[in-house]
Amino acid sequence: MRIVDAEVEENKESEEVKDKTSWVHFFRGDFSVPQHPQLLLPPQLPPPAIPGWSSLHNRLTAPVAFLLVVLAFSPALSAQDSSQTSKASEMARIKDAAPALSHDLSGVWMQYPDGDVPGVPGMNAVSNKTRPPLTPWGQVRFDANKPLVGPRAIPGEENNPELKCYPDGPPKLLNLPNPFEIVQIPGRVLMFYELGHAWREIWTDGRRLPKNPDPSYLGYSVGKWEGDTFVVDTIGFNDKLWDDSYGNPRSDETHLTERYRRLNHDTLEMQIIIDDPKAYKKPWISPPKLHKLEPGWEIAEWFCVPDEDNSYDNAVRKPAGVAPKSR
Amino acid sequence: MNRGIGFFIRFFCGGLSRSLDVLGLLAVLGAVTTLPPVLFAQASPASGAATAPPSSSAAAPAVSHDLSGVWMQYPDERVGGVPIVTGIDEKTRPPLTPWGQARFDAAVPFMGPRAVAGKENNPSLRCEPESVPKSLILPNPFEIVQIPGRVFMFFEEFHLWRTIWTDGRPLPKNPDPS
Repeated sequence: MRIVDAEVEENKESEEVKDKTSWVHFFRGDFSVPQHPQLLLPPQLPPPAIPGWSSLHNRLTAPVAFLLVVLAFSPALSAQDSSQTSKASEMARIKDAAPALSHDLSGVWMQYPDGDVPGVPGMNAVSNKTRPPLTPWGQVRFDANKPLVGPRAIPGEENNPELKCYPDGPPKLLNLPNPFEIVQIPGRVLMFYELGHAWREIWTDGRRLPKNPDPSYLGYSVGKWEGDTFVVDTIGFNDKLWDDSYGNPRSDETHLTERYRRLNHDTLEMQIIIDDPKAYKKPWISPPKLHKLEPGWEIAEWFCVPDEDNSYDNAVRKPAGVAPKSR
Repeated sequence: MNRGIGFFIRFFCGGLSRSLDVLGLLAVLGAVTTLPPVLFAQASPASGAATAPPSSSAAAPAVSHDLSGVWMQYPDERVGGVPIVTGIDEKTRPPLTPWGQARFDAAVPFMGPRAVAGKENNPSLRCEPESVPKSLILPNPFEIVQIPGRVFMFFEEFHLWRTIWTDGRPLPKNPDPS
């Protein structure tokens, strides 16, 4: 059972996001969009490390990554044409993959590269194209949130909580294009995210959401199957994090719904619905996002380490004059 | 439930805002290191918690090869019913190498006889990631979950998780440091 298709409300800001974010964050060395591993590495290896983060998978040097970015943007590769081609070939591959296993979401999953940059996963599981209008509270928070990426990014002004190694939580944790693993055990579904070495548990033992949970970064999650769709409901968030990397706020009244459906053995569809009446005037329904099964992958260690971030500031950002003041 | 040292680490890394007075923090640290053990005992364990391990005959028989569950250190009677950090026993620590001695001398803890208020440099104070073996000895609950090929451990301290591979693979020859 699928939720109704998301409304697509084109607005000026989303157009700006579409035009600018696809390359801005890449050239600024933003940590959150690694190259898709299929372009650069054998499938068995995890993505390359992002500067400033401790990681086991620092296997490619920046120049190689940069070269491939340049090739990706060369005039010979029209973004739209290759995007269409890659989407078509991905859909063909989806059709050919083995059929889904009933009620089994287990495995290591990675976002398909269906973002605006060819071959690169876009941060669009939480889609800016469908973001509803902000409430006054939400607008104040949005204006105060200075992102690392997007048209509102100003070097040196960023205050993304990640810059201080705050733990990440849903939905941003689900939106960033890094591998995650699902493990199912009796009474729980466990999710392990490479980004920040985060993990969360989704209770499937029939319990209800608590009435008045303590606010937390990860929230409190329960899940159940509705036919072939695993539906996760989460409440109990604090308001210290953002919904995405562009500064859209997450209030403590957020009720997050995730809908997972295994289309076939190798493909997982995830849809994110944010119901946050404090920040948005109506629910924020994003289009479903596809993920590919990566059988040879293991979730690597990737902590945010304050000392390493500070070293990166001293070595790179400060000399370039773009060290975030919020640190 | 007494969180012991974990509480103080969580206080500094989980609740710290930039407006907190550093001197205020140091005052707390000083109080912690100078308070007599009897005051720790007053932060008594939750009602119903055992004060000593039951005799082996009293507990239900163990399930073979099943470590699953949420586990908490038994309190140590030497400190009035409070779990203390003895999973790694200082009394059995072997002599240090020169490299080890240099590192030991440079490390300034915030507890114990070498603690110096204001000079502590425990990486936890900067919210650096925690890991084993220290995660195993801090008196906070942890959970073991077993699945085919792996054992997971989840630590309440810093919400840490780790994987222990039980699929027969050998340790890697040259792993990346982590």
